[in-house]
Amino acid sequence: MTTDRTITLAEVAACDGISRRFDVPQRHGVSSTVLALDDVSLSIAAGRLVALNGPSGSGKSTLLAMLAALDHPTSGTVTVQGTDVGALGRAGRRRLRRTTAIMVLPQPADNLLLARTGRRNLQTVAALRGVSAADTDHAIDELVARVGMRSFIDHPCGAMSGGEQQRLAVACALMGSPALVLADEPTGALDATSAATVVEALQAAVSGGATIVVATHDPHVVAAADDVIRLDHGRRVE
Amino acid sequence: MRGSGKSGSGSLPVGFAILLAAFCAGGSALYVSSAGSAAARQQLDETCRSTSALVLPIPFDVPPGWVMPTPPPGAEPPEIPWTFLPNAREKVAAIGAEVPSIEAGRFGSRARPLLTTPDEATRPVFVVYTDKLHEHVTPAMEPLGQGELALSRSNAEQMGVAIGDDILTPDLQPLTVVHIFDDIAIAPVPDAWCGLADLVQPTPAGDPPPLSVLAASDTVIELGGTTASYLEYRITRDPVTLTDLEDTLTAYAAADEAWETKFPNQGDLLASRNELPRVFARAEAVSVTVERSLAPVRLTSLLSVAGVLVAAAVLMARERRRELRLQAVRGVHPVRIALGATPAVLAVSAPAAAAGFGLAWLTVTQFGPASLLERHAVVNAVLATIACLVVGLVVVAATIGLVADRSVDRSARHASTRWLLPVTGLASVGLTVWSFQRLDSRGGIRTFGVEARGGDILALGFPLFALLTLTALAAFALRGIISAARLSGARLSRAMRLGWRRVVLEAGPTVATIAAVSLASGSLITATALSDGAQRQLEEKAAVYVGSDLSITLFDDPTLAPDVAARSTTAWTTKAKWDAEDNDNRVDFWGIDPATFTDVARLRDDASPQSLAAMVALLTEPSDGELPAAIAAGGDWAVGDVIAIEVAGEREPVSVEVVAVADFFPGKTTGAVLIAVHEAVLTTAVPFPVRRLLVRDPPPDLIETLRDQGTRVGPVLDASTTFAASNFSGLRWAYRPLAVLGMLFAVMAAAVQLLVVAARRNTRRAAHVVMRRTGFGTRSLWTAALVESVVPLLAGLALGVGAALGASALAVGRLDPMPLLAPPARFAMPWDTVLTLVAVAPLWAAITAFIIVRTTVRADPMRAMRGDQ
Repeated sequence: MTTDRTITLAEVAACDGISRRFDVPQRHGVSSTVLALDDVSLSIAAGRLVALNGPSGSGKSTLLAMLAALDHPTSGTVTVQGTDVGALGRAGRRRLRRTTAIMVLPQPADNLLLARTGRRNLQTVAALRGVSAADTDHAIDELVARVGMRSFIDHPCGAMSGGEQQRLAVACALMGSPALVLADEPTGALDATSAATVVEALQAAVSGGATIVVATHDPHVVAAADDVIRLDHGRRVE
Repeated sequence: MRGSGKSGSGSLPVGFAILLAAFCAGGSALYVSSAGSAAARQQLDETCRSTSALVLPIPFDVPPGWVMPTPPPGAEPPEIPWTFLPNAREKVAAIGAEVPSIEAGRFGSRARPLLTTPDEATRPVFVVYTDKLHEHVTPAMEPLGQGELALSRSNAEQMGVAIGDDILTPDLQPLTVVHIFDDIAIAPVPDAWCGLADLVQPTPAGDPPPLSVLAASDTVIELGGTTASYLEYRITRDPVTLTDLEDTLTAYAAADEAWETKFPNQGDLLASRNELPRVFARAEAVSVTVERSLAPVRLTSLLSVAGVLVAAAVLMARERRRELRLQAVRGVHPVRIALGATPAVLAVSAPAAAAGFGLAWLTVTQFGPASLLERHAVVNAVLATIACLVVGLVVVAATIGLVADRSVDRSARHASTRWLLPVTGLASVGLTVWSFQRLDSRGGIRTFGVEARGGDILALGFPLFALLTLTALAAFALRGIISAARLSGARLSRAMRLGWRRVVLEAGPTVATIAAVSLASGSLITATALSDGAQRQLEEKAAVYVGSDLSITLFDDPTLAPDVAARSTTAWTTKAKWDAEDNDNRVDFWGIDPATFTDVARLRDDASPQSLAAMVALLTEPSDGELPAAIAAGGDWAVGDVIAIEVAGEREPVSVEVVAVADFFPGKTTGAVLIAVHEAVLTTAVPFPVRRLLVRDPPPDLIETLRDQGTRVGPVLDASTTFAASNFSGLRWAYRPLAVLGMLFAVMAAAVQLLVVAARRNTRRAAHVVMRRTGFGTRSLWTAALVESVVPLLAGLALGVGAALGASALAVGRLDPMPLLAPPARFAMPWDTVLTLVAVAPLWAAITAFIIVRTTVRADPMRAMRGDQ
């Protein structure tokens, strides 16, 4: 096993030689194996905007899913805030997803309860992450200002545009100041203007102290990132 | 910004499943109660109301201080001056008033003094009074006064009296005949007279009943010390439940006890026998039989509904998958996710459960055996409905929680449920084999006289279990076949290939549709085969039992109208033995008229290799030197055997030669062998044979006409009513829920197919938006939709019909309610139901295709592409 990871004092998350194989069922009961991640090691430093870059099928989303405790590596270990994710039980993994490693899904609408207003979504997330009722309104105002969408906060999310929804999703992800925000192709479903507003929101969040890992092949996001990790065919190439 | 559209339709299928569950669970409890009420009413109606009534004697006593004198040797005992006890009638009436479900008391009195008629003959005559009995004679008459008599025409003729004649009492007081009425009908005896049937019906030997007259109550009481007076409390004609009947039965015992308390030392006056306990027991037996037969139906329906519920819950979860996945990604506990969805489910499910209960109540009260339901049955049905609601909510919540959890945690997705189908299939096979063994050894519901017994739950469940098992096994096999056929259909046209690929793309929904259609069609076929089969069995057994449509035992030569004579034949019968040393040697010995018998009697074609006409044509008149020809029905006789029949009272047996054999024959009512010969053989050999008039399509007034002619009429058998008693009704009631189950499955099958259509709606819309640009028009969409809807429908239909016919063919013969009574039960193809299903299937397929086309072409292309529609 090769170890490329760099140990830093402010490490939020790390992967140590992780691999992930998928069995893909074929006809007549035969299945083949796909290696989505192959011996990948990395370290995520605190307060950084990290871009996971690579072509489609390079393993970016799979890697994010490992960090978000949504999937298990076939081999290797994933550590978030010093906790070995693989050693966690189902309850521990749920707690990690709820408070520590927050996932932002690629489709803007998938990140929100569309029937509710933006404010109600933020309140729901605040309650989930243990933000006190007294602090919630202040936190909402601050986050909404940070992602730049104050004017639509009281509209139902289903009536918002994709860019607005994704910025609100980032705001939701940042609620309660989680240690790690993981965004999977946050600009993939957006036009250039909307994508730019989302990138601004991500940068603003990082400048506010958040750690964000973004899986993307959007060059604007890559350009805005503090660190870039490139993957190809499941292997770390840079 | 754009409009937000949130579909609330996801919870509707759940509501529908809970409605079905409430209907099944609540309806079965109500149906058993309905059958119990109907059985109670029918048993009461089949029993003379006077024999099931509470009869409380009004005791007599001697005047205070009176002492029985000792008569001198050889002298007649002194006449006892009986009088009513003070207020005895009021006291008795007070006891009767406590009994529920009865009519007002009917006062009656009966004496049997020696009366002297004008021809100076003195004979015992029953003098009878019953409240309002005078209103039930023809021609009508006024209430009789003191010293007045009325009597029937037969009694008048036997006593030689006419209106205005005096009849003398033992005290030589004259009683004047003021009215002569028509003889009271005997087949059956009218309700008002049934308590006096012994005074109007001839004896079993054909002798007239004892002489009787009607008189005023005072006249009857004055006619001597043997007078018996009573208050008769008949059970109400209103609908009653089994509980009502049981309460009445308990109240009878309490009334007897109260009577004995009020009138000590006179207990021997109380009637020792009452029919109500038997009536109740028989009605209860019918109810138990129906309940047992309903158990497998209830189990099957609830299991199926549970399947629909889970499918509906999964569909609901799929409709909310974004929201559920989001919550799971956010780390919300599955229980909390499930609880969050519960209010919306409850909002639909609670009204659905109420609607299911209401529908069950409406169905049972309107189409069930009786509309009157037990209170505890209604309570049980409500509790069952609530249980369905609660279990339904738990199932839906658990499904939502599970789906949400699996949507994010890939480790959870590996928990395989592949074992479920094989295990269920194996369990189902075991259950089916076990139930068949029970059915084969114990049979189904058996009727013994007027009672229905048996009804082993497991045995009765065989047809349904077999249907379920065959469907489950086929589903298991189809899953593999459909998965393997995923890329088949390459040579089909584009539209047909699209429809076919949608069928084979996902095995689960297609197999679910096929299974649901199979269960629906199979249940309907089974219901028809068993229910109609039971009805046909009873009709065929009645035809053999009676011999024709009507059988009348006569003691005189009848004079028949020419058209009736053309549809009649006379058969002479007697009981005999064929081998005195054998214990089972009974023979029903029949002499028939070959010229007319075959025009009147009916025989099923499987009774003998020969037709009835061919067999009867072999019966010849006796001739010297030749043994008479005989048809042997039952027993191990063969053509050419000689049977020596010993007739009671005759020294020499009658030897006959068997010329034809049959398994059964018209008129065969028992397991005994029936030997039929030419009528001349029997009338020559048997001194006093019983004459039976067999009539086809009899006129309704035939019996009264015969009696008017002076012909003495004995027992009457009517094929249309022979097996119409409540025990046989119980048989029909037991199978009727199968038809409801079939309808239920049909609804489920339609629902499953619509659920599958709904589940594929978004992908179909998105695909159509793209394909439309490539020339895939509405006509092609119609073709694809028809293929998509027709294929599972036809596959399910073929599977269900085939499985049900096989199971029914195995079951019908073994479900014979009276295996000792010929003919044996025989499976008949339920063509009507099969053809109806074959006709309905394309219609439903067209409707489904229409729904597919309509929901696809009406979609907004942009929203369809985004997956919002």
